[in-house]
Order: sequence, then structure tokens, then C-alpha cells
Amino acid sequence: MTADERRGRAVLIDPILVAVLGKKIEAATRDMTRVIERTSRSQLLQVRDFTAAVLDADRRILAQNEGLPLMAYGFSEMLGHLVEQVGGPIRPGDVFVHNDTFGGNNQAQDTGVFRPVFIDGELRFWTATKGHLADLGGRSAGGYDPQATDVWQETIRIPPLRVFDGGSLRRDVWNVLMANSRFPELVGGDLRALMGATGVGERALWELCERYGIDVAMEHLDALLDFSEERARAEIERMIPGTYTAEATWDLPAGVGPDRLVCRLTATVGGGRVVLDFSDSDAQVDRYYNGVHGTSYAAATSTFLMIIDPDIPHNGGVERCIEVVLAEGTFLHAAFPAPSVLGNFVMNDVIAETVMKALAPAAPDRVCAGWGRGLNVSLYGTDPATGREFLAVPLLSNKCGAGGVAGVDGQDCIGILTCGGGFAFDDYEVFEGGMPITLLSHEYWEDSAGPGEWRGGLGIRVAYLMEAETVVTCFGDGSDEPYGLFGGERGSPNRMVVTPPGGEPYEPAPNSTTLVANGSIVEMFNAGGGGYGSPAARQHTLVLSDVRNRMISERTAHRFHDTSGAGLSAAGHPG
Amino acid sequence: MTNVFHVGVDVGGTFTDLVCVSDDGTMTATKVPNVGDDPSTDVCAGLDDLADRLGLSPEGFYGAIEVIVHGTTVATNAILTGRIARTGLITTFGFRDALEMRRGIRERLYDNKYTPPPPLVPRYLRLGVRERVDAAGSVVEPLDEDHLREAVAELRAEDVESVAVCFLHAYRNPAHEAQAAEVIAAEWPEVHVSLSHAVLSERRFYERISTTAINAAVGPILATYLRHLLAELGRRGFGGALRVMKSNGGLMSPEVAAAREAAHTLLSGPAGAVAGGTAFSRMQGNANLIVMDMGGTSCDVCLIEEGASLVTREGSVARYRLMLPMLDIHTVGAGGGSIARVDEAGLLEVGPASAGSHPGPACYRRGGDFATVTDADVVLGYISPDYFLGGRMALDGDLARQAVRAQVADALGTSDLEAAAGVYDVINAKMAAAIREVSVQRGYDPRRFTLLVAGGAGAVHVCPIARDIGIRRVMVPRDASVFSAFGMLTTDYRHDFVRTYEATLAAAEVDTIRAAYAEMCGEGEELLDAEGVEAAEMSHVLKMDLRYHGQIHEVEMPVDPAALDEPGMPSIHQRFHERHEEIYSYATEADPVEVVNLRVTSIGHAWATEPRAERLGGADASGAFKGNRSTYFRDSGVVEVPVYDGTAVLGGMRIDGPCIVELPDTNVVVDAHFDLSCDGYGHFLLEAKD
Repeated sequence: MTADERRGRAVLIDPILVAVLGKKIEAATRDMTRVIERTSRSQLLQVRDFTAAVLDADRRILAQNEGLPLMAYGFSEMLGHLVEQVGGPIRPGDVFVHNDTFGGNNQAQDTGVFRPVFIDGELRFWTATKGHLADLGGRSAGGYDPQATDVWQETIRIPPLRVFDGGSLRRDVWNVLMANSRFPELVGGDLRALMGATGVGERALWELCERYGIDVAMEHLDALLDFSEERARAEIERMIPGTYTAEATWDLPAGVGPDRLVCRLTATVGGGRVVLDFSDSDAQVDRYYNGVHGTSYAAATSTFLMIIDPDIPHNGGVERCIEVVLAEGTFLHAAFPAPSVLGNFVMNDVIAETVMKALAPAAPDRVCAGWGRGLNVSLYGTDPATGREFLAVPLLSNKCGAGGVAGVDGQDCIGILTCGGGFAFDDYEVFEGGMPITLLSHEYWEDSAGPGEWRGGLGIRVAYLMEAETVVTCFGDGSDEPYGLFGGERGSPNRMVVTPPGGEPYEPAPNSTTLVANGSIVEMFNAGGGGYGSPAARQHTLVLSDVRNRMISERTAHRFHDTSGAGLSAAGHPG
Repeated sequence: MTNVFHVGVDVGGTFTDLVCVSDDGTMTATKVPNVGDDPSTDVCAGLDDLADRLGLSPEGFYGAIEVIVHGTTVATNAILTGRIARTGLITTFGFRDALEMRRGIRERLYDNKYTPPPPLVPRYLRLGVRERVDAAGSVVEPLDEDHLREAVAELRAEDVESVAVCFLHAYRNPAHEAQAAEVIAAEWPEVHVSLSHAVLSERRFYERISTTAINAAVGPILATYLRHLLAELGRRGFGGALRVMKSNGGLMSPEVAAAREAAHTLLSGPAGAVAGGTAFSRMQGNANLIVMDMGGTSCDVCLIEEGASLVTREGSVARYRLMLPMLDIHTVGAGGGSIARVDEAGLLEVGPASAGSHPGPACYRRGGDFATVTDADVVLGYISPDYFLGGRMALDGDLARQAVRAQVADALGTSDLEAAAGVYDVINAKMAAAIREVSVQRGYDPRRFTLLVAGGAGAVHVCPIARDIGIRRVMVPRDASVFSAFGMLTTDYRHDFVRTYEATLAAAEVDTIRAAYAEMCGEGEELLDAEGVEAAEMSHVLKMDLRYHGQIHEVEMPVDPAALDEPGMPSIHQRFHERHEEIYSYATEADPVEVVNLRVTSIGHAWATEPRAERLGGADASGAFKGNRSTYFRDSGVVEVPVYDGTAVLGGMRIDGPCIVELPDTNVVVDAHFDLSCDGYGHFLLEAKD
């Protein structure tokens, strides 16, 4: 439909009601989010490792509240599998759980919950949530297993499963789920929170339809998608049309096969649309470095939305302007039964980076330089004081610096890119409350950012003191130096250092598992972002302020920036 | 006979509102425009004006004032404008960046150019000192006093005026913070010090360090202002007590405010209207009310259930996190000055940007060409250009129409009236959403509530808002436009205390709980005593923060002390399950319930406001009829609507909607779905027709 036709239709549509209903649907997803935040039990959901959405019966996303952008956008595909696989009638009061990576899901631990919403006896909406559950089976606790060679070693597969049947919990089904988690209390509580959130969304939709009537509501929500699409098209039309290419690579450890995986993007901008074609990327491997369709689609879409007006509602209308092409058998769209835990989270940054890099010439004032990639740890052991098992995947050490962008420094301690700064790191005091781990420090990593006219954001350095013998799985990237743009410098790569009690420090290889002794210190250095524009052009006052605050060293200031002005002596002492 | 007076003073963004009640019950109100930067000038100008209205000499009036209750935005403005005290922060070594990291969140997820607000304390003034207490409260590493002294010396050399101290796990064991306070006092007695355990004794480091930094950053500013205000008032003969409105809706003395609770004044301004609403609720047998206070730039909404306003600790001011108890006021950018525009896709948006009072709405004739909500109200015929502020300020209806046409109607391709009606609808939808935010989203059915409207513009918009939410009863106080100042004269002294006590509720030690409550009540009584409250006027509300075992957040619930005596506390369990289901749509009754925090709110009853009955007229209001006016309503188009002189509408009179009742500072627009009546106190009641 052309813009004019849409305007023509606005004669029938009340644009004011469109705005009002848009806000109401957004508010419904915010309500859902609040239930998850306030009633969940694991740190993972506390730090917003979840997403909530409302879809219509045609599986179009009407609104979503993205705790984590990477998890959004996949709901439609998952719901398609649900409807197809469940087959029989769906009734009011049913609630489905679905985590199948080969059925549209993201990471295997991301667990979707879907509730059909009936208006006047007819299925008209779905409320849906998805959250990362701490553990749902698989070979190792938490699922981060660099040695896993297929999906069954990473999780139990749950194709769409009816957990509530007409309003009653199916106790037997629930028991099967809980029996397959190492932490049933935690995971059960979180799953109840995710399900409860869909109930709150349902209430909001009922209220809305009672007030406006389902037909009026649907017509106007339809128009809302059109309005959003039109705004997105106008934004894309502002970019310089053309075909652009970019690559990003991920180094693999020995023994996996190739030395590295290359993500290749051909982006075509024009006519108010963008096509992001990744089909020329490398073939899948038989370790966890693969991504599945749902995640790769979300990573590409959400990154693209960061370079257009962020206030456009992110719904099915916007998705119509963006085409993502993925070829099955590549590591971005791995075929069954590939393992995919890393490829569906940290590694999605290769997709995001190619989008930013490829579109830099098309929208130079919108794209950002490279963000630090993720390198984090999963910590698993038995607390000697209580005899209870513990598992931590602390997002405290998954916070790198953002890349610089025209006019703004990259944000410090924010990454990773495909999460868009959506998840919070754990509160120090809450984190220390439950586990045999003491947090020794958590501060900015001085000089980690790539200099530029607009510098990258600083990464951080984090030290954990392990007070139990602990299985430490280190997952992510340990070599990438976040790229600079338009003359900006690269950021520092991730590092990890383990110091055993009384022993020498050593650096475990990324994507390896080691057992560390009680009393060991595990230190994580999260990468700094890349710089944007020439460092020589950086405003003098910003350089001075960075030196004074020790965000950068005097040496760095002298090496990269014009320090001939007043305020910074030759010796480097800030005035 | 000489009267004594109580005065409520609300210094707002553009006007200072004052309400004065004398001991014979007479109420006098005024509104003076603000001048300059020093709010104490506005306070005194307002008091002078009151003296004039009362026919008293300024000296005579100042000398006869017993109490002034002051709602102040001094601390709020300091944060909003960044004109804060130069502040240093001392924290546990290794954690000095927590304040600036803001837990690593970008509040606008997709905005690559998003920038967080600058930290209240820059990095070079945030210093780590070696010490460590663990999560259980045990000292792992003693406080290194030499290291601390170095830090203090460094901050002193940097000319810091205020020092915040926040150590890890100080909510559990405050010994190191107390020790640090002694060292600082010995080294540098004149510096203002804020200790995290004294400001907020609760787990969650980021929230605590942020709240403590805010307290430190505004403490010296508020102290200076209050000292200056007291001196100015004293110079004019004032010898009574000054009381400051707190964010929790209570009062405190300027000494407490300045020395330790500066951050408790950040919602001091909007708290007045809520306090007034609470008083109204009590006068009406603890009616359930939703208070909506619509000003020029924003609309504050708060819910009052059974005579008590809701209090939250999930707040922020200018994007800085503040976890102190504050009235659960939800603010949206919706006011008379909100600007309407049409975006590229043809979607109408109104606010949050506001034209303020300069240039203000187009109809103000101050050179503004924005189409604002007030302009739309004028175009629709809801506000008479000739009777704005009782005729003290003439509006230009043509300019209003031109602005609406140029900014809205042309872009939408509609008539001026339809465009203005669109602006009216969109801003109303925003305010309705704000009301849902404080009701539906917190598990309250708004249809059980009466909507109380404050602020001059609120009553123009209230009918469609009430209908949108399903509210059938609306109340407009006669002095709606100075309602906040009135409210300040109705409230109590109010102090909040918290102790962390974690246990499974079924196995909790009742003696420990009772002892903690007793200790907090004792502290409350001590403070109230210092503020001059008689023991007989003191009371305490006991609360518990409860959660299911394993949950991380709690639900705060009032506790009946008698329920503590039941073995296993079954009624507290029951109430918690019900509340959880209400708010979150589910309860997991099989899970153990845990208590996490014990809270006490100590209340000192300040005074009894005796509402004075107004003279009663008959039901016939024809004596107040001024004439008809062409007015546009969405469902009937342009109709001739009778307009009444509000000053002549007396208690007992009834007027069927649609109608407009004009008071000097307030317009009540009643649409065809409501009827208006005037109660025995002169307030207006709008009730839905059947």
C-alpha cells in the first residue's frame, strides 16, 4: 500500500484513537514487564534478561517491551510453530511454554510463554513473554558448554507445551519440567513470574476491548502498524541508497574446525526498505558457536532499529520495511540439531557489527563504532558452608564499552551491542548475599576505550574471590579489538586472569572450562569500545576532563590528542 | 481580638500560592507571580499580599502567624538545574564508579546517542577507602583510618562542601560509616556529611549510594535557603514555627531537613495537593480518592485509599535514582502549556514539551506561536478569553485559533475545531493513562474512586478523563487552583524508619520483631518530641516488606500488631497471597513467605482542620447564570452552553450538564454526561448521569 492510500484510509480511521490505543498496548507490555521484574527469583530476570509482547491472532507484534532487544522480534516465528504443532483447539485459560531453538526460539535457556486471549469467545490476541531460565537440563549447569556437540547437551527441548489447560495447572507436566532443572525452586518461580505476566497482559486487553469494542480496536491497531511502517520508511528514505557490504569475524579455538567464522553481509538500501542478506556467511560448526534463525533475525532487526529514530514503535509494521535473508546451514541459521548457546547470545554481535559497518556510508551520523564483545564466566560449585549447589552467570562482568557515535562518546560499562544496554548488572549487595563469592572490585578500566573525536565507552575490570572450589566456564570473545570508525582508534580486547591462592596468575583460553581452587581470584577485563572520528579533533576540554577523572591516562592523552592547549603540562599533570 | 494564623505556602514554577487559615476558621487565599531566583522573596511577597487582603499591617500579620508550612522546590531545582553543592563521595575501595555506572543500563534502548545525566559526583571526587564488611555484617577488613584521612584531605583540597559516605553492606553493619563520621568530624568539622545507613538503611548498593549522593548534593543548598528564609521572616516579625513539607506527605522541622533529611524534600511541592486530598478523604469518611493536579507543564496524579495516600520507594528525580519513601505521585508531561504537533506520519502528539509561561500558549500574546492545550481549550470554548484569572489576564482567541490551525489542523486536514478537539483528546488520554498507572497498574480499580481535581486547568479536562476510566464521581474544590497550599495546612508530622530483618514468616521471632518496632517507634517519638508534638498526638503505623521465598523484591503491607500474636501469623500470610494475586495475577500459596524489612511510620498529629460550612442556597442556580457560550463537544458538535458565575454558585445548588462554571482561577467544564452540584462547603461535585 502506498503512503497516499494509507492517508486515504485515515478518513475512516481516527488518528487520535490510533495514538491512544498504541499507548494502551504499550502500557500493557510495561505491566507485564513489571510482574517479571517484581516477582521473579533469579538474578537473570532481575537484570532484565527477558522480553514481553502482545501479538494479534495473525501473529503480528502489536507492541513489545524489550528488556533485551535480542530476544524480541522472534515471537511471531515461535507462535507460528506453536499453532502448527499444537494442532487441536486452543482454549481460554491455556498457557504454553516453548523453548525449541528450532521452532523460532533464541537461546535454548530463553523460555517463551504464550497465553491466548479470547474476546467474546474468539481468540484475538496472544500475550507472550520470554525469559532466560537459569537451568533447564543439558550436560552442564546453566547451559554454557563449549564442548557440547548437539542441542540435547544444552537443554531439554520443549516444543510448544500446554502447561495450563483451561485455567488449571497440569501438575504432571509441571513436574516433568521441574524434574529436569538443577534448580527447580529458582526456575519454577521464574516460570511462574513469566506466566503471571501474560495474565496481567490478558487483563489489560480485556479492559481495552470492553471499552472500545474489539472491531474498533483491531482496525485502529492495524492502522498503528501502518503508521509505524510509514515512519520507518521515511527514515530509511533519508539514508543514501545503495548496496553495501561488511564482514565481521569470530576466532575459534583449536579443534573446532576452522580458525574463525566469518559473517558476511550485503545490505541494500532503497525505496524505503532495507534488505540485510547474510547468506554468504560461513558454514555451521558442531560446537556452540552457531546461531538459529530466530536470534539472527532479531539481532539484525534490532541493530538496524538503532540507526533509525528510536521513538518509532517497534511492532509488526516496522518489520515490514526490513528483510533479513539467512541461509540454512550457515552458522547464523544452523540446521537441526546443532548446538547454539553462544551463537544465540554473545556471538550475535558479529551480525550487529556488520550492520553498523556496512551502513556507515549510508547513515554516517547514526552508526556507532565497535562495541566491546562479551567475555563472561559461568561459576558453578557447591557452597562449603551450606552444602548447596550454586550457579552464577554474573552480568557484573558482561559490561563492555559502547562504540563512539557522531557527537557522543560511547557509553561506559553498557554492552553488549545486541542487548542495547537493556540488562542491568547485578546489585553488589544482592549478588553477595547468596553465594560463596566475594566481589573484590568493579570499576572502570582506565584507557580501555578506543580514542577518537568521540571516544569509545570504557570497559570495566571486575574481580571475584571464589570461596568454594568452582567450575569456571569462560565464554565469549578474547581477541577482538572493537573497530574504530572514520579515523577512530580500536578499543582494548577482553581478558580473563585467574590467580590461584599462593599461585601464579594465568589466563584461561576463552570458551574453556577449568576447575579453580577455593580462594582463587577470577578477574575479568571487559573490552572498551572503538572511537569515532580522528582523536586529534577531540575537544580539548573533553580530553582534560577524561584525564582529570582518570578515564584515560596522561600518556594516552599525549599520544592521541592535541594537548598543546592549556591545562595539561608536558609532565601530564592536569591543571 | 487578635487572630492567630496558619499559612500554607507552595512555591511553584510560575506562581506562589498561599492559603491562610485563622483560628476563627476563615480562609484567605492568594496567588502571586514569582520574581527572580530567590524563593524567599516570593514567600514574603505572598505573605505581604495576604496581610493586605486581611486588612492587617505586615508587622501585625507576621507577628500573628503561628505556623508556616512550606512546600519548597529548592532541592528539586538544584538537582534539575545542576546547581548543587560541590560533593565528594567516600566509598569502599574498588567500587567508586557504582554511582556513575547506573547499573549499566541505557534507558533508551535503541538510542545510540543517548547520554546519561552527569554523575552528581564526578569521578575525581569519588574516592575508595580500604575497609570491608560482608553480607552477614561481619568486618572482613577494618576501616583503614589513615587511608580515610588521605581521602578527606584530598576532598578538602578540592573545596568540597558536602561529603557522602557509602560503604558496602552498611545497612547490615554501620560501624565503619559511624567510625568514618567521627574521623571526618575531627578532621573537618564544618563539612556537611551524609551517611548511607542514616539516609537509607536498606540493602541495594546502587540505590543507597545514589540516594546518599543526592542527599549530600542538596543538603547544604537547602540548609542555606532555610536559614536565609528564617532570617527574612524573623526580620519581618515572624516568631512562629516554620515547617517543611516532605516527599512522604508529612512535615518536618527546618533543623531536621537541613541536617539530615534534605533528600526528603524532593517531592515537597506536589505533596501538598496529596495532603489536601487525604484531608478531604478523611472528611468524607475515608473516601477513596484519586488526586489529579494539572498545572502548566505537568500533571501529578496520586491515589488515596481509605484516607491514606500510597507511598513508594521506587522513585527518581531528574533521572537520578532516589529510594526514599515518597508519595506515589505519578507525573506526566501534560499541562496547559503542553505543545501539540503532528509528526511525519500524520500522528498527533501533545507534550511533553511545554511552552511554559514564556512565551507560553499562543493566546497569551507573548510572542509564542506554539499550539498548546490552553489554546485548544480556548478554541473549543471551554476557557473564556475575557475571564482568564478572573479577567486579570486577557487571552487572544484569534491567536489561539491561528496556532491550532497552523500547527495541527492544516497537517491533519481537519477543521480548527476538530483539530483542537484532537489536542484535547490526546492530552486527556495521557492524563487518563497516568491515572491508570497509579490505579490499575497497582491493582486498584479506579471505578471505586472519586476523582479530585486540583490546579486551575484540571477541571476543564476532567469529564472525558473520568469517563475514559469509568469514574462516575468528580470533586472540584472551590479553591482548586491553590489546593496544594491548602493541603499543607492539613497534614501531619511524618517520619519513616526501616530495619532489615530477614526470616521465614512462619518461623519469625516475634520478640525480635516487636523489639525492632519498639525501637523505631522510640526514635519516632524522640523526633516528634523535638518538633513540639505532644505525646497524645503521636501514633505509629507498622509495616512489613514480604515476599515469597526466593523472590528478590517485596510487597510492602501494613501490619495489625495483633496479627503478630497468632502462631505462624496466618492472617498476614493470607493478606499477602491476596495482594500478590491482585497486583501480579497469581499467588503461589505453597511457597513459604518471608519477611525482609520492618517499617514504621511515626505520625505526629499537627492540627485539626475544621472545614467551615458555606452558606446554603436553594437548588436553583439561575441567579448565577451569566449567559450562553458556543462550545464544542466531541459527541454533539458546537452547542450553546450556559455559563455560570462560580462565585454565586452556593451550597445546595444543582446545574445539569452541559454547563460551564467560571471561578476567578478555575473553570469547571461539565459535559453532557455529568451534572454538577455544590456541597455544603462550597466544593463542586460532578456526578455521571445514569
